[in-house]
Amino acid sequence: MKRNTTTAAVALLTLLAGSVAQAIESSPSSRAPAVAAADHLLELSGARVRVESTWVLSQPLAAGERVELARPLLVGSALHSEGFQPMKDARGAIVALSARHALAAGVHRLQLSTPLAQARTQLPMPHSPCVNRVRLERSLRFEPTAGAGLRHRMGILVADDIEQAARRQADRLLDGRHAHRRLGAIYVRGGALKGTLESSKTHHGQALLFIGGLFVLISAGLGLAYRRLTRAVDGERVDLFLEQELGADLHALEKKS
Amino acid sequence: MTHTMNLLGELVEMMGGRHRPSEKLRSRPAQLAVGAALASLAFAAVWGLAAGAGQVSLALQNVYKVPLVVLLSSLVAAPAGLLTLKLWAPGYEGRSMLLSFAVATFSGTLVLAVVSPLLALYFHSSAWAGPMLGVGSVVLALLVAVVVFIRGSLARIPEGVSKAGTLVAALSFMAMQLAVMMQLIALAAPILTDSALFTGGIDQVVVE
Repeated sequence: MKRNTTTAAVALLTLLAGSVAQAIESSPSSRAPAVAAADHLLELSGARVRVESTWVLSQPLAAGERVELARPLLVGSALHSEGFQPMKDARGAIVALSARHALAAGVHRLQLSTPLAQARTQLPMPHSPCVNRVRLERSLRFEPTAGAGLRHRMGILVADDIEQAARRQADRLLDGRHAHRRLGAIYVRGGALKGTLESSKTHHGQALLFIGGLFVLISAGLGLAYRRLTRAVDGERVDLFLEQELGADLHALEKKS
Repeated sequence: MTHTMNLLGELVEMMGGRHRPSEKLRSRPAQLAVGAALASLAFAAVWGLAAGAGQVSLALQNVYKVPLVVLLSSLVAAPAGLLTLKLWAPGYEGRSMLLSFAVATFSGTLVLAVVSPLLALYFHSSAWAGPMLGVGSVVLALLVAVVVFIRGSLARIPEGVSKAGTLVAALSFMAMQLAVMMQLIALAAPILTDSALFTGGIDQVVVE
């Protein structure tokens, strides 16, 4: 009888432990990160940057389930998404996104609008070790800071901790099996994008100013050269004329003297 | 004024490839080359003004942007072209090749200037044909410049100099100029009111 009771107690404990473990596993805070890869396409629109983000969910999300952001999105940023609702902290910064309804695994899109000055740090990157791909339209330009851990690799910028396999897997998740190299893309993990973001117009404006100065100098130089050459040609014409008209007489005079 | 007209007249004659400047006037080829460069700037400015006809600010900016693209791309192309000439066609005088190059640039920009009134009119009156004509005039100008350059450099080829080598040098001039031009256009964009051609430079060509 005693042995039976002990066996039943052990079985009950085992069952309890199993349920607790299952409950812990399925709780939102301890589940494996739901986002497998993310893409952020940045475009300048007036004085603000419009970000079109794509999240690839590796597993379904239940309604109300949260995905924490790697960095909070400060006040002044507006986020819209069909599937997600922004969750704000006491200061009003968006710290997480909550599923509006049950979301299937796969691609989900978000739109963010943020002032240009903050745009670099204002990307909806999930708090997860997944690879984030950041792409810039021609209206924007990104310059990484020294020691940012980003390396140039044949037309793309990749963080040191991202291996080629991880990058290619992220590309495949975002673009499909036949994903091709996205020239100019930046690959980082969880909010580690350090550098300067500026409008291409501002950047090109500085270069154009320098080139414009060079152009003015060269044009002035050409003008001066042309004047000198014209004088030289006029002189040569006079010499030629004199030689043609008076050549014989001059030779005769030279011989006499 | 007479000087300028004489110069322009001689440059137009040289576009045919047969005319050669007088050998007795040693400074004349250099004067023609520099004169061709300056005239090219003026013609390019006229085209720029017409290409920006839709917006006053763009038209005014184009007055220096387009000549800038033409002048700087030519200047950057010249050393590479001359080096190729030295390696592939020894015996061909650099000055002679530079004169052909300047005349080709002159002829290309002359085409642009000639089309300018039509371009300005179309930019004002047609949303579709204006940009098309803008891009079309650039393509036509490039074609004319290429033909004039190749014909001119082959016509001035000295005896004993390889024709193929001269062609390689001419191609090197053109390739270098086009490569530089593409990036300068990207830097100077916008030039046309409604066209995105080359505004992204080489990145646009490779990615799109």
